[in-house]
Amino acid sequence: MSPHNVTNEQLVQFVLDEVSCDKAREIEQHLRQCEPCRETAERLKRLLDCAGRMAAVPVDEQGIESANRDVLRAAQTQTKDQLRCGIPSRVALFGRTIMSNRMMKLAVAAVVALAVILGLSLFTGDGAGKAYAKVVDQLHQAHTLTFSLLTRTGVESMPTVRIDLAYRDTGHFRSTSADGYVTVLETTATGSRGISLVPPTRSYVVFEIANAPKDPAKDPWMTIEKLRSLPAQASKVLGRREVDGRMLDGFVAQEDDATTTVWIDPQSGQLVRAELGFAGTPGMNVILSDFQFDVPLDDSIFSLEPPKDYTPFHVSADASSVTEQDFIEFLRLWSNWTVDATFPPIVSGVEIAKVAVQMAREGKFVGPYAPAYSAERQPQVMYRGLVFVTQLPGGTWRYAGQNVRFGDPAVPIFWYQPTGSATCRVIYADLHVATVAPESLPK
Amino acid sequence: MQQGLGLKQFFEKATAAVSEKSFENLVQEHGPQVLRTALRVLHDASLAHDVHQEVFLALWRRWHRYNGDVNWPAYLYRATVRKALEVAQQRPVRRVPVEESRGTLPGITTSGPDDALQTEELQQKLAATLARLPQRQADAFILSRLEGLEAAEIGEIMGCSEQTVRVHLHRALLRLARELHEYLSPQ
Repeated sequence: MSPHNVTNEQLVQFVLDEVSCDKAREIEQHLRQCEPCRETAERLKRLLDCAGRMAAVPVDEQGIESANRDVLRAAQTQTKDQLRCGIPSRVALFGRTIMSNRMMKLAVAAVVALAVILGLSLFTGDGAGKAYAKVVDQLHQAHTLTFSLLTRTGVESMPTVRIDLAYRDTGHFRSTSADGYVTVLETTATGSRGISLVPPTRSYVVFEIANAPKDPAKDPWMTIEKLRSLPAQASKVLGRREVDGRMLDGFVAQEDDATTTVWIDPQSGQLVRAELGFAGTPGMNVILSDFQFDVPLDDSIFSLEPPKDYTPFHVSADASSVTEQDFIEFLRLWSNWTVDATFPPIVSGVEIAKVAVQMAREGKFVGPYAPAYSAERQPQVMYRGLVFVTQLPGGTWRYAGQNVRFGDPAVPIFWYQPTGSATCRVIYADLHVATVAPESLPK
Repeated sequence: MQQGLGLKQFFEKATAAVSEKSFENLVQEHGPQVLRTALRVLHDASLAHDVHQEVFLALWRRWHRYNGDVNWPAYLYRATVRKALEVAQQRPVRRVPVEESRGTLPGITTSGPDDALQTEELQQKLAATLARLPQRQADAFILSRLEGLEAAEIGEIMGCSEQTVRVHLHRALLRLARELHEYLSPQ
């Protein structure tokens, strides 16, 4: 073997006795002639000797007993402290106790049986169902409501958006973001009007939207209506769980494409948190918290008057007869607008505005407006496109355009099933549309 | 209502007792191994005791999250190795006085005071250096050379193939040999 044909890896295998006898002889022969390799091998052997001595240290039985005793005592102390403070530390944990032997399983079964016989209903039953119904009723009846809303956007550069909301019956809505974006909205039977303040540009957008979708639950501005349209009975009872450090009772209500999980304080019966998930936008969900019902809200916070030093920017859009073509045009606009010709990361109306501002800050658009779109036309196109999506029945559409570039005719970015149709429509990255059978839809 | 409250408290206490019992069984069954692993890495009974406490008490605080589908030996090996290496990294390497070093480490024969000193110091240095290795390399070294496990067993604990275990071990050895060069070279 010529000098230094032995690698360090082979030396390791040699000292670990992982080479064949022939190979070992070759390496030994090499080591006799090569000082650097010999020194490396000797260091490896000393290292293994050292590890061997460390491994040989004995542990006496007394040490083991003492250590075990100490840890069990500390664990019991923790539990007693929790029970003394009235915190049901283990009640909700019952279903998750580790079973390490048959005796434990029998003991747990006995406790369960006892609970059933004695009529305890910690997790389900009339008591818990009434709590949910009471909260839903409170939501339905509230004249004013304030809460915080945290949205997970599914966008890597802006994973969450947080805003505070105020609602006054009927149809008065105000949202305020942490960085000062304010939207005030007034909805009527025929449409909506409102004002949005854009602090970075010291401008405001006054908008009037005619023929807005009739179902407030589908309106892109009216997240609150999802809560106020909750059914009186939950679809599923989750039981008591720890949420953000508190033990709360959970209930799930399923409606169209939205899943609402409601968390209620078992002591006070108050709504603590609500989570909204949308089947059509996986990865994007909404968390509502800090609820206050029927607090006095000054009329001024719902005023549509703009600040005096802000510049106006008007938007008018007719939301009637919105079609698939409106959505396609919206997608075309967006892909022309982005520097990398990608489609929007989400197609939710409420959050896409914030996402757009964030993307603008990051230099992801070619300019303030997409080429060939004017300041007047662009907002209309965007609004009509987003209304198309919100008007689709829940669970009948799916968007897959995040990070997809315009152009590839083989890449589907959106599909939906028109109402009453047995087939589906698929929009591809070159914005052509095909009609396909449901079983042929992209997975 | 009063009776309901009393029953609720009874139920809570009963459930807590059941939960504590299963945790106790786990400690009795696996406590010795946790202590041994910690002692092999740290070579200090007091520190090993602390690691044992921390590993099990951290587990107890999260006890309600486990539903029985846990490979406890693997979990505890990993937790113990992590904790022990954390302690090893923070502990200053002690220069052991000659009188103290003699006879401290059972099974070790030394030819003189300098050898004993070097041995103790090298072991502490080795533990501290292990803490700086990539996690998988440290795991492979400790489970193989300190715990004496076969590659197949190590693969189960680490969630990888035997071949991958060997790769991690070999890299760990080469890196340790390089970093502990001055301690491993002949005087």
